[in-house]
Amino acid sequence: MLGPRLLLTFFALTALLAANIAASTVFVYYTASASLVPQRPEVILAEPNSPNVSVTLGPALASASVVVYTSNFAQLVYNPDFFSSPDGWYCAPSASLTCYWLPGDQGASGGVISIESNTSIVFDESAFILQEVTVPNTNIVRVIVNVTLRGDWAFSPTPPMVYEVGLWDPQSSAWAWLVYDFPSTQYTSYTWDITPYLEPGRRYILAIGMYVVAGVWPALYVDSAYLSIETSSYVFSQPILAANVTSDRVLYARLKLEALSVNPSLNASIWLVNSTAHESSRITIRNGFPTSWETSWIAVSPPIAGYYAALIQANASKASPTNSSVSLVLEYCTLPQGMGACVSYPVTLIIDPRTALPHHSGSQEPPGIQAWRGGTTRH
Amino acid sequence: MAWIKNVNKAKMGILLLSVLMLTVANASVFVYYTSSLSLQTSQPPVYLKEGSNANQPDLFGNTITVTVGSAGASASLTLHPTYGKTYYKNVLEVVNQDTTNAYTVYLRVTDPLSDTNVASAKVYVYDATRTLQATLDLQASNNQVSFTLPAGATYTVDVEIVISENGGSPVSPPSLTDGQAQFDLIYTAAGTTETPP
Repeated sequence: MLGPRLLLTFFALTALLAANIAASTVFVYYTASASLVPQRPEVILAEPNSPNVSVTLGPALASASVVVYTSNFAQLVYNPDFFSSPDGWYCAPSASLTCYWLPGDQGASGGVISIESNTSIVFDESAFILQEVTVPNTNIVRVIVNVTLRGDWAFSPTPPMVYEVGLWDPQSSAWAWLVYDFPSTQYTSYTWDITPYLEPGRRYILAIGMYVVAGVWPALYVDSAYLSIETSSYVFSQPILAANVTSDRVLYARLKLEALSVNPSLNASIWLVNSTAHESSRITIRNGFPTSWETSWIAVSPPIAGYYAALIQANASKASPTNSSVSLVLEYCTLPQGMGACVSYPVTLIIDPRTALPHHSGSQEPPGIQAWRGGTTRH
Repeated sequence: MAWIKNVNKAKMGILLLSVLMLTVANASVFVYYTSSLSLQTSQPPVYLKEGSNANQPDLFGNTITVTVGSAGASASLTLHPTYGKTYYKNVLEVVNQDTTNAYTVYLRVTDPLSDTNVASAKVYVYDATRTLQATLDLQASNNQVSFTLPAGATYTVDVEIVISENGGSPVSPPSLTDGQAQFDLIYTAAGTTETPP
């Protein structure tokens, strides 16, 4: 009787074992390892030394906090004294008249620019010194021009010349604004409100010169020149950060917008410019909302001495000097289009912190031509 | 005397019976059935492969070194990060060459990266549409994540290293005392509820 029972028990156990074997899971193990061999940073950040910009860099120059101050006042031309050079002014000479830089003149505050002839004028002529001016593309409240000059002439008791100050509009090839009058032989400061004559966003040429009748030996001396502009919005346009490559090879960089907390009226653009003036596309913010979150990639390489591999450029305008903050990432890679090794540095941009410095600073030279063209320097 | 003989016979009988009982009690019964185990090898359905960014330029002229075993069953990465976040896209690929069956793949940290200057060390797994499938924290001991690798699919593996700038210098590399991590890739047939031992 026990034999069949034992047999049944055996078959039951065997079936249970077989079921367990069928239900078991097979796991296959592979091993992987990651080893880190750290390197010093191949790109380091630097201060661009821009006015109205304050930069705090991390200890390894791999992060930055940038504070910028917008202003509703800007000096587009700021030459209180031609101290050591014509300071970027062009010369538009005539047949007999040309331009000189002088280290001083009686009654002048320092260096001056003169327009004069070495001989008596045969025909009526005019000549000018010129400076480019780009009006901000925002509502303009007031534009003021101020010039200090004097005239000098011989062989005539009355002035045989007039000074001329005007804004030439290259687009229409006409004067947008022009004044002229007899000059004094003593340095005299003249101020004009030219607000009605300018349009936002347009480029003009500020011209200071003279018109001379034939038969005289004239000269015009310019001691200072200003063109200041007040806008209804608060504006900023400067490099906010610089970057240098510490190796000897080309890298590829872009900017990304990570987060922002901004004034609803803020319009801003942020982009990269490399040492060969190649620009990336722009991160853009319109009325407080980002419309583009990243720039295109541009190549950055070790620059020649005195230059940066790349600059982060920003412009901004808004209705009031209230606080905004933007979190950016500067990303650089060893290969184009985000391949190879890619390193990200955090960059925080703060616009007009609540402890903002006073506005109306405006002490920068206007951007423009840095060569003295068409004239000579006379000492 | 006869009863004495009978008593002795009885004692002897009891003794013999006791010995016999002890012998029976200590005896083992062995029952033998025959079975066989045969090993039949096959190609692995899941294997590792160098990614498109493997052995490409790393920082300062170094190379993103990726070594995969000849059978695709092991991988070794050597990376050269710096301060900030250094990201290595598609250094490794996980391939399912089984076009019929999906597999569940586990990533498990077996030796975490414990250097305090490393703020973060992560492995990301993406599918072909760059949708994130898994994130493995290389700093967490025994951390385990999983994802399903569909039949015939290839997933890519990225590595992100974040090194703190605190105490750093632009002219010297970050100082790391433990710059290594190890992790296992474990796979099994999809659908099971068991986790790997």
